[in-house]
Amino acid sequence: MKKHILIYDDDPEILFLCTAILSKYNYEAQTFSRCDNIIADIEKHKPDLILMDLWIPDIGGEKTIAIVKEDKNIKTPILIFSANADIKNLTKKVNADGYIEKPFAINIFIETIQKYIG
Amino acid sequence: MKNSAPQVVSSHEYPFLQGGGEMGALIRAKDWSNTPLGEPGTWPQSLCTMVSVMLDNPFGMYIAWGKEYTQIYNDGYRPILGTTKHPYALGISTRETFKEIWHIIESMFDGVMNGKPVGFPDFMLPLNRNNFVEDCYFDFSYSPIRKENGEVGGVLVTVIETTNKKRAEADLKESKDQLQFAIEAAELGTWDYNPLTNKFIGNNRLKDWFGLQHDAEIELPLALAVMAEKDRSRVEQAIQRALKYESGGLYNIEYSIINALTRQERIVSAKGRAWFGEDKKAYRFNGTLEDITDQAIARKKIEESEHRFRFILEHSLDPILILKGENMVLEIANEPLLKLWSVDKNALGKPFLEILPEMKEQGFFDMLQDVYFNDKIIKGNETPVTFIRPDGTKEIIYFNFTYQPYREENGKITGVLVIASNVTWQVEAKKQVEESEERFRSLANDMAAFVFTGDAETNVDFVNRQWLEFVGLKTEEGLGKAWVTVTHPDDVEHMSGTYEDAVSNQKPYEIEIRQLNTNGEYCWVLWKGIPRITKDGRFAGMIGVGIDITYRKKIEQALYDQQAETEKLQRLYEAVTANTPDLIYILDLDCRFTYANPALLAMWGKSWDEAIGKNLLENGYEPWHAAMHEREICEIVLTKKSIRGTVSFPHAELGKRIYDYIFAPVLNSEGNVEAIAGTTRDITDITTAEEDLLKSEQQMRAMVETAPFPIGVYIGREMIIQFANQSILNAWGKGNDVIGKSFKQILPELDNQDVFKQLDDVYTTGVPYHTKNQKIDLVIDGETKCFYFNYSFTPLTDSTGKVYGVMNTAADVTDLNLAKLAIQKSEENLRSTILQAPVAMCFFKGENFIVDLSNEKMFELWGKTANDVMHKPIFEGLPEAKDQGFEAILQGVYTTGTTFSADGVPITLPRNGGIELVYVNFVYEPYREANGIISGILAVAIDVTTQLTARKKIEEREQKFRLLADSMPQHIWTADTNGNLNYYNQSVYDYSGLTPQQIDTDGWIQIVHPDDREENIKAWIHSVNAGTDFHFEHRFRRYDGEYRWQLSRAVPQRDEEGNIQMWVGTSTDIQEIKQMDQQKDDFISIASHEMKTPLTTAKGYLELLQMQLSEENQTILLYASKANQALERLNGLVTELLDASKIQNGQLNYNISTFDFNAMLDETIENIQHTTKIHTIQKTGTAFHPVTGDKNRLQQVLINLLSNAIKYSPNADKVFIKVEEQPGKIQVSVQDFGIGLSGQHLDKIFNRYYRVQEHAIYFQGLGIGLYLSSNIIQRHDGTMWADSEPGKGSTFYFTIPIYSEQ
Repeated sequence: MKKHILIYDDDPEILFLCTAILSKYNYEAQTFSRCDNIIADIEKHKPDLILMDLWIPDIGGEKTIAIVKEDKNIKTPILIFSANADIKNLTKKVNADGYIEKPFAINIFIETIQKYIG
Repeated sequence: MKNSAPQVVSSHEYPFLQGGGEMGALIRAKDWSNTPLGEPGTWPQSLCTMVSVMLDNPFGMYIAWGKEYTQIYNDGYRPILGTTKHPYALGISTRETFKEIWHIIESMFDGVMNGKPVGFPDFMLPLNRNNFVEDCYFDFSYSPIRKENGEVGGVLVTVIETTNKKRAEADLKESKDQLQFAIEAAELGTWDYNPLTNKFIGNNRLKDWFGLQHDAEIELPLALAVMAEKDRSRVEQAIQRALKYESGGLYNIEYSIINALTRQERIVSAKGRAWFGEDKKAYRFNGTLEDITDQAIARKKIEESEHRFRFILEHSLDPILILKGENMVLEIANEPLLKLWSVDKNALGKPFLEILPEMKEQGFFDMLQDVYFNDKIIKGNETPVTFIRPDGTKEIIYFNFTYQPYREENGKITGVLVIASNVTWQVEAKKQVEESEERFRSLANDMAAFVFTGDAETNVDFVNRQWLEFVGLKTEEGLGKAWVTVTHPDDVEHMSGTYEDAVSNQKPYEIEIRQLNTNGEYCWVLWKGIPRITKDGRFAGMIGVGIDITYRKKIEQALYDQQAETEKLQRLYEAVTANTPDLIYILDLDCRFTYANPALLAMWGKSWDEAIGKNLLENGYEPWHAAMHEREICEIVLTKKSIRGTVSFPHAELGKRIYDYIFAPVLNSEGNVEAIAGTTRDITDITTAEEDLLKSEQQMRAMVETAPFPIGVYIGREMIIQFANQSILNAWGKGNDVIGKSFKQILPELDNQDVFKQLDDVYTTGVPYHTKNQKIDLVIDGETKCFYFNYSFTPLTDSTGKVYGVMNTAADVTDLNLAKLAIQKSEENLRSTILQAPVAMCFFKGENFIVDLSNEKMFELWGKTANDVMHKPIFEGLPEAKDQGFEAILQGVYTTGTTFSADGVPITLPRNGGIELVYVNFVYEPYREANGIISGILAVAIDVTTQLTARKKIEEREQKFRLLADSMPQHIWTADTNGNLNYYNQSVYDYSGLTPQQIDTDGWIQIVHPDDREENIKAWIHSVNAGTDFHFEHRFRRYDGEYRWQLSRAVPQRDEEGNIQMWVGTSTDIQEIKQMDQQKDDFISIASHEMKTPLTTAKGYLELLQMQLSEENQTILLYASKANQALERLNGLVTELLDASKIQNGQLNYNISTFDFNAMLDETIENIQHTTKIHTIQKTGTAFHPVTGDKNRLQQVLINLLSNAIKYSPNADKVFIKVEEQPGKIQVSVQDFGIGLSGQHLDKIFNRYYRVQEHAIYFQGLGIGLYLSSNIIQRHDGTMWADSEPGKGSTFYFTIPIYSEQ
């Protein structure tokens, strides 16, 4: 069974690109341009991994990650997926499981995902 | 105190503390450093001078210095402090020492400190100085001691204690009153005789006695005429004797006077004394008269009875003697006794054993003593006494004798009365009887005595011839009971009884009976019988001897009669002594009373039994009194001389009385004192009178002696010194030996000083001479010294008005004059001070303010010459100063005595030919004479025009600065060298909405945003301490509560020496700039983010494309690859831009770790080397130490530098990178051989966005690389710089600190 990845990003182009790449590498991806209902999304799709942009409506990635991390039932790894130059520190700050920096090289993108979900 | 290392000088080295006796020593020894005065070396000159003067002064002086009134005083003052205040008073405050009177003297002290001297004569202060409060009197003055600047520094107290004088005055008055009272009370007559006029005056009582008119002055002959004729010449002689100088002038005589009117005879005791002048002639003779009639009569009667008593004793018929005292001095012996002892009357008064030394071994002396001491009567019967006669032969005489105590009228045993009869013949007769009855019988008949024997019954069986012849009987008629017929009928029964008793008891008997002799006369016959015991022990009857004792009996009778007479006399005695007011008594040698007359008993309030036999103490004598008498009695025993004295003790009824007493020795026959006879007379009234007279004279004399001013009395034209008190001796520097010498003799140095002439004139004319402040040179200890005296020569006149001498009183005013000289000197000092003062000084004299003295500076100040102003009233000499208010100030100082001072007072004065406004600081100080009166004003002035003008200029400048500052929109502020802000321009108040007061109170920090405050204060303190420019951005709260960013800068203002004078700061509102910056950064941040999103997409698709193409078309793949590379660079640029904006916001984050710097270096070089084919990067040196920092950022710096080196050296093929370790740091330099930079650019290349414009067309990039690098290095506490030469290349350096492991 394919691994299931949720991608949150406000840019549809990024979402489309990522979906294309992930399917090429045999992952199943659901994409969201808003992060308002992430808990419901997670319950619905039961993902193996979440990629979260920071600049995303409505409350932004940082707070969303915090909400997810507060829910003790959710064990899904969640990675920051951002162009922010300070991404490493932000990852620590919001207690995210890792990060993928934009722009990315595909091999690094895939290697990073494989690192979390095999 | 920078320059003065404290100098240690011990007190004794100060010259002004020399001398001064005890107090001088104490002052020198005192540790003054703990007192408000401090070490003497620091004392003001005026205090030093005053202390020095004080120490040398014999009068009491005392200084209370300063506000604490710290005390220093001299030896003369010491007694005033009593036992409890001295020496603690030295160096402490008057308030403490005199706390019990401080409320009295405080205001005076304070007055003196304000320049008001004060003084009082005989001022009473209740001092506690000997553990009790006593009223003390003082002549004192408190005067101010002025310091060099004229201020009062302390109080000088000069004082003479007059307590004793006051007491003496009071006592003298009292004593005069008492004298008068005593004379009245004693009922004395007083008389005062003038030898020159031969007249005398007396009180009314005396005149009454003499029968003279009360108001009469009496001629001496008239008084003599009233005296009893028998006494007249004696009195006259006594008077003449007393009037002779050699006699000492004493007069003491008793005589009778017969009242001219009443013919009443009166016995008086006159006592007096003559007074002699220098010529040894009596000028006065006065005294008292006491009526002693009663005493004299009593005394005479006693003398008469005594005389009679002795007469009878000495004419008794039997050997009788009286031995007196324990040595048995032969006091009385009659003729028979002297004959018996073979001595003459010279034996009288000799002790018994001296007359008859042979008696000692025979035990008689012991017996006599037994009688004397033990009050016994001892009788001797036929006692053999061996006399050694003058020719050496021994003679034994047998006596019957009686030793009985001899009592005085008071009952005391003072000797032994001895009555003896020679019974030698009887004894011898008896002896013969005892030898042999047979021989007896034959012998008996030859005996001179009557002899009988009786049988064992009571019958007489033998009588001798003498008896028979005596009674005229024949042998036979005399036997049996024949004796009865010749015996006096009254004695028969006595005889029978005695004889029968003797026979029946076989014992001796003795009886005296009267028997009839042949002439028909009854004769006294002494019969003695003894039992006759035969050799076999049988009682044979009695044997008896009789002798005719008629003669002896007669003597006995005479003695009896005489004793009766004696007793009668004693009763008379008793009667006399009982009625005399004198106290009569006898003391034995143990000081026990053996007799006391009724007057004495009355005085004691005791009965005879209570008093007699008791000693002095037991009779209520006080111990001292008893001891005194015991001492006297011992003396009398030794000297055998009477002692007379006076003593005062309490009488049982009359209270304290004074008594005249005489103790006379009672000598025994051996001339030793066996008792003391005393008579005591109450002379209270007389004595009191005499004492008072003496006392008042002594007191007067003592007063004169101790008077604090010199007094001398010179007699005769020769001016013989009769009297000189201590004070005048001190003044002369002489001792007591001047008395009796002439004035010229002792003070020859006065010869040329007019004094002798003055004395002579006074003596001649009788006109007193007074002078003041006379300078007198006296030779003291061989050295001529100068003194000043106020003195008077007052003539002394006798009662006739003749001048006989001169009294000299004087006051030593030397000190006063020296003080005046000192004042004069201090005035000179003042003058010299004024003239040499570095500031303008002058002295205005008097109420017109005449310029008396002025220095050049003052002339300069006035703009005048000395000629213009000297010796003129100031406003006359300097009219330009008129009407500028100075008249009133001067007048005020002159009248109130209050110093006036003012600073920066404007005054117009002549300057440079015109009138100019000048500013002066000046002081007007009242100048006081020694008496405290203001005599002028001392003026000190400083022209402060220049300073004031300069100050004004500064003020003006300041004003201008403020005006300017306040008109500026920026915040401007200043701070002092300590960083305290002291000025804010108007803009600050406008912006903050705070008032100057609010900022002053709560500080400027309240304006600063709370988040910025800590950093702000830290930065400000750092700048102030380091003296470096202050540069800080912070938010200030505006009046409406909005915080706006400000850029504050402050730079220190330095003087010529580079010392910081103040800080001037500005705060510029950069809120708009900040906002724009923020907006720009936000924009960049968003832009970079937004750019990265399409970049990401583009890059992703390109990579997907590459993946697809890799297997098909190599050329298209290359194109895609290039596009991807371009996107990478674009991404790098966007990232840099973002970093730059983050630096600006302080948001750039660092990941700090310790890493191998050299390895990082090699890795980076390798990476960069891959990017170029043209350049070879050559590394030299190695970093051995690891570095702590952000490895990626430092790598970024190296990449930047190496990239730039390659980028800006397109025509070179080498880049050198050099690494070297320096102490504590690693230095890295990157050298290229490219285009280089000019100096003007070098300063700016580390600025953000700076790029060397002229090369813009050649080189790409936003130019933020060096800015970022520089920032990163700074964040690592390193430095970065560059060397460059245009066309030759550039070298960029940075250093990174190595932190040692420790």
